[in-house]
Formats: sequence, structure tokens, C-alpha cells
Amino acid sequence: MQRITILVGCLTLSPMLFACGDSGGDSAEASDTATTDPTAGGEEECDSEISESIEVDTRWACDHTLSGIVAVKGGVTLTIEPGVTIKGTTGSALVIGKGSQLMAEGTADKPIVFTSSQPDGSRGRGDWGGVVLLGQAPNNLQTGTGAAEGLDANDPDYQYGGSDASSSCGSLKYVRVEFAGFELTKDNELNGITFYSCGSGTKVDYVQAHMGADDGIEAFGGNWSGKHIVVTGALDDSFDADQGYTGSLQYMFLHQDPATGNYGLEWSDQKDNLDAIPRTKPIVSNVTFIGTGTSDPLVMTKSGAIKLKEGTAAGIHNSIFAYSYNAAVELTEAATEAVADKGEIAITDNIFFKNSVADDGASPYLTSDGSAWDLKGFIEDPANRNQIDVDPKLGSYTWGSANIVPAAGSPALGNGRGVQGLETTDYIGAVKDATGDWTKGWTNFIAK
Amino acid sequence: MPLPDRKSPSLLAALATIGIGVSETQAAGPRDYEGPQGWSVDGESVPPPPDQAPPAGGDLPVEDAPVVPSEPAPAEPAPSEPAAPPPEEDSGCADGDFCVEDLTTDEAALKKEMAPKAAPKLAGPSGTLSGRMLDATSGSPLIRVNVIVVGTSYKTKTDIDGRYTLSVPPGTYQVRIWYDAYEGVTISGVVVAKDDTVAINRDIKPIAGMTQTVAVTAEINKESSAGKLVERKKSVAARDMMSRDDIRKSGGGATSAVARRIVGSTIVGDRFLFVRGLGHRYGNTLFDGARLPSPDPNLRTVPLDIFPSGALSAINVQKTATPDVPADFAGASVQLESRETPDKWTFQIDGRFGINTQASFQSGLRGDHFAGDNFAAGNLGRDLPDLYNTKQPIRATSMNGDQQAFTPQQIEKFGESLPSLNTAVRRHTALPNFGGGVQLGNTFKPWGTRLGFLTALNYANSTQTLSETYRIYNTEQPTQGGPFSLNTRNPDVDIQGTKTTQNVQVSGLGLLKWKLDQNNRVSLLGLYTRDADNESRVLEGRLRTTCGEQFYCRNTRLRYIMRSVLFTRLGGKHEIPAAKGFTIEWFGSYAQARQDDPLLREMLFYRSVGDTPQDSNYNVDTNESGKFQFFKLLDHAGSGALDFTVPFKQWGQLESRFKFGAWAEAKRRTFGVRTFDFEPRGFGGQLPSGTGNIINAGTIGDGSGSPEPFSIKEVTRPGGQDGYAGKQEVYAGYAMLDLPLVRWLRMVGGARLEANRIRVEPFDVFGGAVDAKANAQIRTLNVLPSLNLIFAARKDMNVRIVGAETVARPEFRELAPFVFTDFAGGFTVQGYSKLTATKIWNADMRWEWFPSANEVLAVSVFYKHFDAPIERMIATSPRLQTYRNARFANNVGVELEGRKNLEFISKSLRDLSLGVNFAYIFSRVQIAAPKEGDLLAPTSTQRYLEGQSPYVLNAYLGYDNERSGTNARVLFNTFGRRIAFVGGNHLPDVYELPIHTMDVTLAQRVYKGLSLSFSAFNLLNWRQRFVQGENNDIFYTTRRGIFFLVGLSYSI
Repeated sequence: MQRITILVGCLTLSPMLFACGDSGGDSAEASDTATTDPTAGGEEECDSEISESIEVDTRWACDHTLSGIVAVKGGVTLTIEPGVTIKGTTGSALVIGKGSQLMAEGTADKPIVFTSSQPDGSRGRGDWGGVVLLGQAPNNLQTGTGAAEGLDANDPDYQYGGSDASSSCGSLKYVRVEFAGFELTKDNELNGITFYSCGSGTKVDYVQAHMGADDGIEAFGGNWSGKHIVVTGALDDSFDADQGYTGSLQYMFLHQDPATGNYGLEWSDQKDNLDAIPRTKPIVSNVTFIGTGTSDPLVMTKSGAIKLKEGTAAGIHNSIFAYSYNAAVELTEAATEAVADKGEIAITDNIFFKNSVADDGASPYLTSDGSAWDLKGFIEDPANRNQIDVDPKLGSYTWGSANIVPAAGSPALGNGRGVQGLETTDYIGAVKDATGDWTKGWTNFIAK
Repeated sequence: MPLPDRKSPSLLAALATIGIGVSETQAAGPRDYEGPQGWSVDGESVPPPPDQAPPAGGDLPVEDAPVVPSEPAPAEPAPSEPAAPPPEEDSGCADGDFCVEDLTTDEAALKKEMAPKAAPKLAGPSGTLSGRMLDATSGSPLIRVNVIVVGTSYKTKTDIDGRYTLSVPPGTYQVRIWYDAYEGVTISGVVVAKDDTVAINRDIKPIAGMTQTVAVTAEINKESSAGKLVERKKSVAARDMMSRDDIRKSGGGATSAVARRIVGSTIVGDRFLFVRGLGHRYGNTLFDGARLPSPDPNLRTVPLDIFPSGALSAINVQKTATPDVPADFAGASVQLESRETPDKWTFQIDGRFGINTQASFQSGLRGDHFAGDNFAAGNLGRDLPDLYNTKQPIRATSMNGDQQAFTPQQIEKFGESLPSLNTAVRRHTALPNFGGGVQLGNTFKPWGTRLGFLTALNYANSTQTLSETYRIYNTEQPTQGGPFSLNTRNPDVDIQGTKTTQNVQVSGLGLLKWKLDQNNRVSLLGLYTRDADNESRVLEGRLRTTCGEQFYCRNTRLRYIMRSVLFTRLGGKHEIPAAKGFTIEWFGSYAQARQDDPLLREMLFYRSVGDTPQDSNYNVDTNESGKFQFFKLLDHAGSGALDFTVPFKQWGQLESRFKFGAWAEAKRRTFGVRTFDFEPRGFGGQLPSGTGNIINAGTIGDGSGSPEPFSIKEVTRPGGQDGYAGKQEVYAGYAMLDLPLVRWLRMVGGARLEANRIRVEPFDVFGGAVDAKANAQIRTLNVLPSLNLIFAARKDMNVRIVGAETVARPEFRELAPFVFTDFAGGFTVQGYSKLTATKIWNADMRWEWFPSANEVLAVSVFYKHFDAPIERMIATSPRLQTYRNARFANNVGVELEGRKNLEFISKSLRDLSLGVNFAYIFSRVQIAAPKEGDLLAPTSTQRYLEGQSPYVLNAYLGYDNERSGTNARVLFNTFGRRIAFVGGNHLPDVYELPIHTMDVTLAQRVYKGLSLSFSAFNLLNWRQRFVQGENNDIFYTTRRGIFFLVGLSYSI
């Protein structure tokens, strides 16, 4: 069944009907109807071009193409049904405004895909913008409010932050966001999926950000938690957290394109106030990270596995970090060292393998210039049970066709430990075995 | 971040020598007044023999046509009973004799003549002679023309309007009119009856045979310093003027270099005139009354260096509003007056050569060269080829991706057919600065009319290299909830740059002035200026949010910006004698302004902090590299006005006038940019290292990533982010009354009605949908009253009190959502569609004293209230530069001006004069309570208005020796620190610190028409600094270097 609200139709089809949302006139009545019953009336026109903002509850049951920045605003919900593909044209993006929600719940067989409007095989990073969710949970900005990167900072619709920690930006399940990261303004690309101050009500499970021109997934403040996250081919960081994000993520597969990439995990408290409260403190467990250092010949990149900076706290557990081009762990700024000294950074039960490929493993740890802080001692402290330069024996590290299932006898198996608040696993890394390989089926690893 | 654009001072002007060609003779008295005293045919000066009577007849041709008597004339011409003549205050000339009179020895007389002269009382019955004396060339009134009744002691001189009245006993007379350096006129058989008025109006001509000097002489009367002071005294509004004399003495050259010397003015970025420390927003520029558009889309003021100062007779800076002038100014309305056409064939040629201590013959930067770069036409070769005239963006598929737009082969061809793929910036030794100009003019006399023309061509080529430092800091809040401070330990941006800009200016001017008869004049002006900046820039340093902490960035850019203005104006002035001098003035103008900025090429490279800066250690950052942008801006603008002046006599028979008129103007702009990005799409290997031309035909492919890594992709933004259309219309009408209430109090008042509409509508370059939300519209309808009261306390002294309301309106760019970022990591500049117009209430009180013809002392006190002034703001999170309306601002200021000849100290100092201008302004802005969600709420609430300097000081010491033909000036200028950007979201304000500049100009006549000039600009080479925070941490800094210039000019 294909349904769509009148409003979307009329906004999309004709500028003559632009007055839909205004009072008076026949079209206004139609829109009123649409508001009260989002599924009532009118056939959803499939494969239509969506270019105007969405200000009533809307449901997409078939494919559409985004043109320009499409904002969902006014506290409404955009629901996308399983199997729907939304294509983004150059410069387009889907922005869920503060108070509105995106309900995109696909299934393993019918994931919801946000992708480039280019045809299969000729897609690339930055073909379109990405998905931006603006929430009203707290962040640690001085003003409590921020403006989404790359969007019009003069427009209050593109601001985020509030005090409702349990609020929700919606639900993303079996969702892929591919080839995003259009440069909206110079040096300001959108991430694949950006969570701005999304609260704990936000549900994230089985989400892939693939081939984005900036970070794969970035969280600015908020406290949402998620599971089963895949980030592949991000040009910048795979998972970036900032501005007081405090959530837990379990089961992540982060794979960098051997030609480019920055950090697997880059976390910062806040660049303007290194002790801003709430302090950024993501807790991750069961991450498998493969850096850019797998190519032959080796390509120079900025790839690193973990970057903790600007006073962030962190919990990184039961994870595998392999083949970073540069250091495996960077911990910079005295503020971050102080946070670590207070015990708010925990890096335990991880496997580090073939990192710092650029210099054959000579500099796996990096601290601020002139700092005497003992990062090596911190990571390699036996109490933290990190396995250094140990082969996790994964099936394949090949870009585009990796197999992250550990072979029998892998040190990843049986060495996992429970993390408070997360599912307890006895293994290290994102998957335990081939049958439990959740990264297959709904994902896409094709780079164009 | 658009910091003030530097511009090398253009070369010495043609003008530096025009004045020198003028011979001036010596007489005792102040030397500043350059009124002619004696002339020889070839222009050499002739010392006037003060006691020698001139030849009686030769120079005083008798005009045959007698004035038709209104009554039959008495037979006996001589008055039977001459009444006691008025006390003769003038010295020198015996009645009825022709004499060469030095006006400057006669200051008292001049002062007296500035006001209308009362007719002397006659004891017996009397009649009246009255009329007006005009310059036959220019049509402007001549002051102090002698009107003498031959054989009697009755005589008078014309007033500042060229008018005179003379009471004589009834009789038939011979009336002689003479004026120095003009052809004298004697009129016989003038019959004056009792209680009758005989009108004698004449246009008198400069003396024939005086060759080129006459042409200049004719102008000097109007264009000399003294003439301008007279005009200023008489002027309705408080205004300051710069005459041709001043222009010449300032070294001539670009108009901007000249305008620097106007009271209370500051020249910003070498090109823009600010008055009383008020910025771009509060000025307008009119050329002979018509609106002149700025070629710079971000600004409303017109850069003055686009005019050759030789084309101007005066720069007129009106500081208080009158109803007959467009009301969109608060600082100053800069009114440029075109010069008069020369009376005889004049030809002048000049050449200039100069160096800049930081650029000429030194290593600078350069990109690849295009044909036309040396003629401001390099934009043509850089334009997108026709191949790119496509209906859809240069991408493999259509916008929505459902069909192929271009084949891979086409994509590769697109990439390889850009005008240039060279991105490398190389070292290059800069040429010195040079330039030249020619000027040609004459006046013909077809069918008894006078048709004059003047043409000027100018060329200048200059190079400047700047070393720049940019830093962008964030704020920090050391304790939660505590105060914010600037984090200077770890700037987001800390880069050093080198930028070489070659500027080429070409301009041409054509002026036709046609005087049909003494009451009807028409003029046609055409001006075309074209200037181009060829800029090569390398920035290097830390951009931690762009390249990361472990890397240094190197950002290179090649850019070529061509700006042109084509301006045409047709205007006329018609006086209807039958209707008692009812005057109609009109003009229509059309202007086209273009800014073409094609083939901006930008690359970003990075290297590890630990690596040496050798070229092979640089790697290309593909995200910010390979950007090719093409900007185009086109403005069409027109303005027209019709003014009517009705002179009348008020109850006390004082000259009064009523003026009314209408004004209309319209402007249309289209702006668009196309952006192309080369990206290593689908490429997995190692890109070439180094900062050379890594994007080239061999590395550009079809998008498959193999074997060539790069492919072109158009990233022009949809939804109106990369294009906008601007429309503005202003319709105005006004009425004003210029009414002397009593002899010493004149009132000028009226109102102007201005209806204005501004619309800015973003459009999609490819015709896609645009969110109407981004449209901006401003409609205003203002009644703008003004009242000027002028108390002529003494004949040489005025007190003015002025109250007026004016407006300021945002520019298109300030309303447009288009974003531009100067460098990766820099501020994104974006307009704000919700700006409103500003209303300004101005009050001004001014006391002026004109102790002698070229001396002045003036004190002004002024107050301005700005309702919703627009301020330029920056914030770092988000990193944005935009605009906001403050709630209101109040400015209170005092302004002093003095010009004095130093002869009063010692006779030996008579060639020296000193001038000082000083303005002090106190300003306070009131900020509206921050709106919910406005991330640009200003940080500081107790501060000056953005752009307002607390003080501005100009001073000069001049030496003028006509005997040796030497003019020299030392000029000094400074201003108080002013806010360049208002900080938002806890970021402190950015201040520009004072820059002290000292210039020296020297001009020497070598031989007849040949003269030599030397100038040195920016001798102090003061560092330009923008600072931020309590400790004045550097935000931007550079130095411009010292400019030396030698010019040679020849005129015949």
C-alpha cells in the first residue's frame, strides 16, 4: 500500500500549492486533513522529488529523491517504511529539527537506505549531504545551544540542545546512509549521520554509515545509546563524539578505506572548555577497527585508531584495533591526562595489532608535545588486560570484503569481560563467529 | 574573512602638473589663493606692475549693442548731480581704470562680497542697475566682478551668486564690466530712469590668447581652494570641499589619495572615504548628482581610486542632509564634480614610475600568466569555456540521478578543458609600479553655442606583496558558569601567509559639455573603469580543525578579480529668464557594474608537524583541494532626477528660493557562482606528493578512479545557496525652502519622501527549486525632514544648526544566504535575510570663521542617533561572519578644522601653510536582549558602534612657491582604534588598532608645461593590526610597505 500525505504531495508537485500550510483556501483544508490523519487521503506519488520542508506527520512507503536541504520541523514525525530507498541529490540533506523525529525502522531483509542519487557503480563520497538529527537533550556548550555544522547558522531551525535527557530524535534500525558528506560550506561537510544532542529515547540499532566525506557517525552532546553500528570508508573519523556525549555503544565495525581516513574513534570533551560538564564519556565495547594500513603499497594517510582529546572521558573495552597507519592511541592535552588520572578513562580488554604501520610500529602511542605523561604505561598496564601486538586472527582485513570473524584459537575468543550497562560477551571484537556475524546481509561494502 | 582589501596607491596623477602649468604671479598677501594676476601669452608669469595703468582700450572691447533703455534717454549723459559715492573699501584701483587687482590682498573686500551687498543709498532720485555675471565657459557665477559706471564713482562688485545691484541717479551711462583675466565689456547708452531697474546680465569670457592657462584659470576661479571656501561658506549644508588646488597639492593621483585630506575623513583600505570615523554603511557617492554604483558587491561606498583625479573639479563632502540629496547617508555624501572642459586645445601626457619597498624587484608569488593580465582583461581567458554552458551540473548523472547526464569520456573532457589546471604558486620577482595617462580637451563654438569636450585615459600597473598573519581563537570558560576568556594558547587557526597582488587599472573618461546659450546647458559624461587584482596566495600553519593537530596545512590560492564600472550620465540645466530665473535641472544615468572572478583555484596540502617543509613532504588534502570556482556579478543601475528652483525675493527683498524635485533609482543584480571539485573518486592508491600541479591532464580521469585518480564534479549548491538576484528601487520627492529671514539668519528646510524596496531572492543556478524562506524583502516609506539654520554672525563667520533625518539600508550581499569562506578554517561570510533598514537622526552645530580667502577655522558639535544600526559580527561556534541589527546607537562628537598661512609668524614663512582636522566621537551601542536561539548574541554590550573610530586626525604642512613652481606637502593621518568585527557568542570584539600614515608629495615645474613630481606614501609603514581580547592578541596583521613614485608630465 502506498500512502502519502497531501502536504508532501502538494509541496512537492507545485509551487502553486505552496500555500498548503497557510490558512485559508482549499489546499489549507486539505493540509488540515493531512495533519489530523497522516495516512489519510491521496496516493503517495512514488519517486517524487522532495524539496520543501516537512511540517506535518509524514510517511514514506516508497522511494523518493531529496533535493536541497529538507527539514522536518515543528515537532512532527517522518516515518519511513522498510525497504524504502531515499536518494540524495547534490547538496541535499535530511535534517530532523529539534522536537521532530525520524522513525526509520527497516528489517535485515529490507533495510532503509539513504544513498546517492547517482547510479550504482558511479557513486562516491559527498554525492549528497547526509542525515542530521537535532535533539533537545543536554550538551556541554556554554550556551546550551549550538548550530548544526554546515547549515545556516542564522536559522533557528538548525539549532540543537536542551534539557530533556530522555527525549528522542526517533529510531534508526537497519538503516544505511551512504555516500554522504557533501561540502555544504568550505571545510564543512556533513557526516553520514550526525546526532546533535539526541536523548536517551533515541533508538539506534543496525546502522551503517558508508563512504562519507567526513565522519561516519558523530555525536554532539546527548546521551543516546546504540548497538550494531558499521562505519566503512569514512574520509574522516569513523565515530566522533564531542560536546558532552554520554552514551554506550556496543558491537561496532569500523573499517577505513586504505586510501584515506582519520581516527576510528575521536572523542573530545569540548574544544572551548576542556572541562565542560557534562563531560563527554562514550562507553564502547566490542569494536572491531581496521585502519588504512592494509594496502600494498602503503598509502600515506592520517589514520589512527583512538584519539582522546580536550578533556574527554572514555570507556573502551573488548575491542580490536588493527592496521592504523599512525598511532594506535593518541591522548592529548593535559586536561585529558588529568581525566585519565582521575580514572575516568578506561581502556581495557582490547587487542592492538599492527598499528603505527607507517613506521613499523615504532610509535603506537602519542601524547601532546612535551608531555611526560606515560600513555604506554597506561595502555600496557597488565591490570588493563590489553593485548599488545597480538594477532586477533580475523578472517580478512581486505577493504570491501573483510571478514572480521576470528578464527578458532584467536585471542579474541574467551577473553571478553562484561561492561556495566552493556551485554556481557566473552569475546573481543564486534562478532564472535560466522553465524553471529551481524555485519552481513543488510550492509553495503561496495565503494562506488 | 574579508579584511580590508589593500590596494596599492595608484600612480601619480595627471593632475599633479595641470596646476603647475598655471602661471601665477606674486603679490603680497597670502599665497594660497591662486587667482591669476598677470598673464602672458605663452603662460609665463608676468609680474604685475601694481601701479601701472592698463591699456585703456585694447583689453576692454566695447560691446556695441546697447541696453535698450526702458525710457527715452535724457540727452545729456553725465549725471548732473552725482550723489556721494559709497565709501570705497577696496584699494588699488582708481575708478574707471582697468587695473590688475590682486584679490588676495583684499581679504576684507572678499569677505564683504561674500554676502549680498546692499545698494548704496542715494540722496536724490535714483534708478537701479542689477544683474548677474556668469563665466561664459562654465556658467558658474563669478564673484567680485567689477561693475563700474564710467566717469563716476559709482561702482560695485558681484556677490557670491554673481549678482549685483547698483543705485545710480537717473541718466545715461557707459557701464564697464571687468574681471581679471576675463575679457572686459563696456556697454554704452545704458539709460537709467528714476525708480527703474535696468538689468545687465553678462556671461564674460576668459581673455583670448592666454592659451592653456586660461582654461585652467577659468577653473581656478571655481576650483581653487579659495573658491571652494567661498562655496562652503555659502553652502546650505555643512560640507567640506576639496578643490583642484588641494587635489594638486596633495600630489594628485588617485582620488582616494586626495580625499584623505578632507576634514574628519579617513581613507580605509586605500580606497574608501569614511567621514567622522563612520564606515561604508553610512556614506553614498554621487557623480554630478547621479548615483554611482560600487563595483565591490560587498560594499556600498565607491572606491575612489577608480577615478583619475584629473577628471574632477572638486570632491564635495556633504555631512548634513538637505532634502535635495539622497538620504541614505549619515557620515557623508561624497559628491564628485566633473571638471569643466578646457577652453582651448589642451593636451597632457604623463608617466609614472614607482616602487614598493616590499614588492618591487623582490621575490613575490605568481601563478600562471594569461593574455590580458596586464590590461585588466585576464578574466576573459579564465572564463569557463562554452563547453560548460550546460543545463545541468557537470556530473555523471542528472540531479536526481535517474539518467546519465554526461558520459565518462565527457566528464574527463570537462575536467581537462578548464582554462587552466595549474594550481602551483611560484616565486617570482615583481616588476616595479608604472603607469601613464593622456588627457585631451577643447571647446568648439558651433552655431554660436559652446561645445566642450574632455577625454582622459589612464593606466596603472602596481604590485604589492603582503606578509600576513591570521589567527582565530576560541573562547574558553575556565570554570563552569564563570567568565569567558579567549583561549590564545591553542588557536584554531594560526597561519602565516604571503600574498602578492598585481593590480592593473585602466580607465577612460569622456565628457561633453554643451552650452546652447547662457540659459541652457547640457552635459554628457561617460566613464569606464576597469581594474583587476591578480592575486597569488600561500597560507601555511596550523588549522587544527581542518588538518588535525599533528599536521601543518598549506593552503594555496590563485585568484583574479576584475571589476568594471560603466557609467553614463546625461544632464542639463535650463534657466528661464522670463520666469525670473526659474531653473530646471535634470539628469538620467545608467551604470553597469561587473565583478568577474573566474578560475579561483584552491589547494590544501598537509605535512606532519615533525617533517621538514620540503616540498615532497606535502600531501594533498583531497577534500579541500582541487576547488575551481567561477563567480560572476552583474549590476544594472539607473538613476534620474528632476529639480526645479524658483528664486524669489522675500519680504525684505532678500534672495530666496524654493526648490522641489523628484528622484528615482533602480538597481538589478544577478550573482552566481559555479564550483567544481576534483576528487580522487574511486581511487585507492597514493596520490602524487608535493605542491606542484598535481591535477593535470595526466591525472584527470573519467570518474572510475583508474588509471587517472582525479575526476571533476560540479558541486554548485542547489536551493539558492550559490546565486541570488537583488532588486532595489527608490522613489523620492522633496520640497525645500531657502529663505533668509533677516540678513543674518537664513533658514533652509524641507522634507524628502523616500519610498524604498529591496528584495534579495536566492536562485538556483540550474533552475532548481528554492526555498522562499530565504528571500529577503525590505520596504520602507520615510518622510525625512531637515532644517538648517545659518546665522551669518559676521560676514566672515557662520553658525549653522542642522537637524535632519536620514537612513541606511543593507546591501544585497548582506541579505543573501550565499556563503563564502576566504580560506579553509576561516570565517564563513553569509548574509542575514532578516536585517532591517536603519533610521538616523542627525543634529549638527557648526561655527565657521573665514579669516581670509584661504583660511578657515571651524568647530562642529554633532549628535547622531541610529535606530537599528547594522553591525558586522563574527562568532566561532558556529564560525561565521554575518550581520545583525543592534537596537540603537548614539554618537556624539566634536570636529575641529583649521587652515592657516604661516605668514603671520614671519614674512619668510609666507609660502608655508598648515592645516589640521580633528574629530572626536563618543559612541554607545544598545543591544537588544538576545533572542532565543540567536547564537550571535553580541558579547560586549558597552562599546562603540562597529567601525566607529573615537578620533580621526589629519594634518598637513604645505609649501607653495609659485615663483619657482614648487609645491610640497607633508601629510599625516591617524585614527583611533575601532571595532572591525563585533564578537558574538562570548567571543570578544575584534579591534583594528590605529595606523599612522605619513605621506610626502613634491612637485616642481621644470620648464613651461613640463613638470616633475615625487611622492612617498606610507612612510611610517605602520603595522596594520587587528586584535582581540584583553591582551590585544593578534587576529590579523600585515604591513603594506612604503611606496615611492616619480612622475613626469607635459602639457601643451
